[in-house]
Amino acid sequence: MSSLARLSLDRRDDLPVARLDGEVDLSNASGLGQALRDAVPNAALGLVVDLSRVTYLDSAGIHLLFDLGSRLRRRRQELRLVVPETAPIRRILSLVGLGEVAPVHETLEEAVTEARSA
Amino acid sequence: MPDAEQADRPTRVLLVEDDPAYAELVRRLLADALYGRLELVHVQRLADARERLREGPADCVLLDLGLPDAQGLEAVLQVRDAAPDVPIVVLSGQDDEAIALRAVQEGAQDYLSKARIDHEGIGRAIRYSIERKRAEGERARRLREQAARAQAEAIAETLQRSFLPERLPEFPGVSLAARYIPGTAGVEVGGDWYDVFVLTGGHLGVAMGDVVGRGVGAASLMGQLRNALRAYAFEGHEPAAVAERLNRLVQSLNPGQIATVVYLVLEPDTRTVRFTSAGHLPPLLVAPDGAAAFLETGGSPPLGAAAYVPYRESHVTLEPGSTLVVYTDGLVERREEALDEGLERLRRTAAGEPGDPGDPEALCDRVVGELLGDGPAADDAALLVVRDVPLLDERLQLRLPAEPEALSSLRRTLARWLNEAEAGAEESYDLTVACGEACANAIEHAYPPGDAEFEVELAREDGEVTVTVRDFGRWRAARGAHRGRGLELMEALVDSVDVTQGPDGTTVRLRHSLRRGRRS
Repeated sequence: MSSLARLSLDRRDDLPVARLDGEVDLSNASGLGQALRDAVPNAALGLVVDLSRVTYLDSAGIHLLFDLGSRLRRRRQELRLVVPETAPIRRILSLVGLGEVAPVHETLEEAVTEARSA
Repeated sequence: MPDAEQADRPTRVLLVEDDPAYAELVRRLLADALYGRLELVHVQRLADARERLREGPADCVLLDLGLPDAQGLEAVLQVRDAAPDVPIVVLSGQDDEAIALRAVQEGAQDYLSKARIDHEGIGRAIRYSIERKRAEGERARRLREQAARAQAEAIAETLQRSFLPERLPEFPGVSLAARYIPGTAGVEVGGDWYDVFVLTGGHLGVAMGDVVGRGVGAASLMGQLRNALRAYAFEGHEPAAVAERLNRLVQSLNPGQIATVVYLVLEPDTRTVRFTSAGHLPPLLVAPDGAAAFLETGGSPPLGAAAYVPYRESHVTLEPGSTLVVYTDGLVERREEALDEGLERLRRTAAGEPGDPGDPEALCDRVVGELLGDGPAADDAALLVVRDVPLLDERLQLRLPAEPEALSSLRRTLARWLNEAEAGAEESYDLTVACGEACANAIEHAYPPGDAEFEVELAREDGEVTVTVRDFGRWRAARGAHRGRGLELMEALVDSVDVTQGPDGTTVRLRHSLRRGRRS
């Protein structure tokens, strides 16, 4: 158990949903990346990662998301992120252009609906 | 050797004399002197005397110095070796009086001149020699006991110290001081212990505990509790969960033993203190204006008292410059006095004047002097003072281990420093991310893994913040898009980024002008 970040995994039918709370930096990014990759079975549509409650994300965490996006894309699966306008990391993500590898949604519901209809 | 026992039975005398006629004279004189309460064994040779002494004890040896198989001092030394605890009275002829004196120096208790012997003299000599030997033995035993006690006390203190941190951690923005005062029952290890450590995430863990009882049992439980508390805390458990686990540990490892503990986690950036007490006396909070009040702990039972106890977590937010005092009952408890009086004395002593700089070392001295000043208490006592101090007084320089785990600690410190520098929320966030990137770079440069460190310096001048991150590793090219993105982030977030690479390491300097009138 890391006191920096907590990962909870859930499922909406065949769509895995991961919620991340806390801070992501060089010390825990690779462990979280592994856990997120393991959360996506081959048959899944893709993965929704809810980052609403992430208070800090450094380039190791950003790298994790880019890497996760490209891995899933190679398997014809889709990564969708939930980052509301008010989320602390929203500006950082737009600065590095994360929207180019994964669609960013305001709410979890929106992300799930879009993933289903895509 | 109780006198009563001696009075009840005949005095056992071993007479070593080769002249049968003289031996008979001595026997008669002794019978007179001791009123018949005599158990006399007579031998003629020293070898037989040694044999007898091996077989059974004697109260006194009457020793002739002219035996066929041992003469003079040699005879005395042989008897002394054979029975070191039995007094010797030497029977000397006219020509060996000088040797008889030497014999007394070498351990004989007395000597009698054969020519001038009478029943009074022989009786007194035997009684006195027995008494002197007994007193001598008693003195030696007391000395041995004193030495053993001193050694046991030294061991107890060494052991006790091993349960306390050798030194308190350096923690930016927090000033710490602690005291441990052993009680007068010093041979045994007391039950008081404390610990201070930096948690993952840059929080400060503070524990103060007291194991009921003394000695080896208390000591081993103390060691277990200190280790277990750290382990649970490092695992990321919150104070109440730590207390619940410690309770289960005491129940399973040391059933029947009782211990109290209070465990606090200080979040330096928000100045929040979350804490749980298991039957321990309440922490004292001294506000910056000097007002002192005990924190409400909710009255939970001590560890080991009940099988399953749901412990509660309380929290308090400190004003800048506040002081927390944790302690054990040995500090406040006095015989024939209600506990409340001791607590009130602590509260009054720790309370300061407004504007009191409140140096923790000085506060420790004042409290110990006031509460334990009139001589050492029977119980041991421990005291730990945690004070919130400003970071911004001067430029802040930090040396951190080149490990990813250092990053979150640095973020707490930086958040506090930026708050004191009156930076707005958004620019604080930007500076924190940029600084984090520079530090992550430094950590990845560090080589070899292990004891490497890097430096961070924070300075503010005319509304401009400068963050300098210096590593001492070899420069390595950015590894793929990952590190390149770090530099890109820094440049996007702060006014200027300046990277200098030299043979001894890399320096990254970030500059950023704070917006005026912020605190957005």
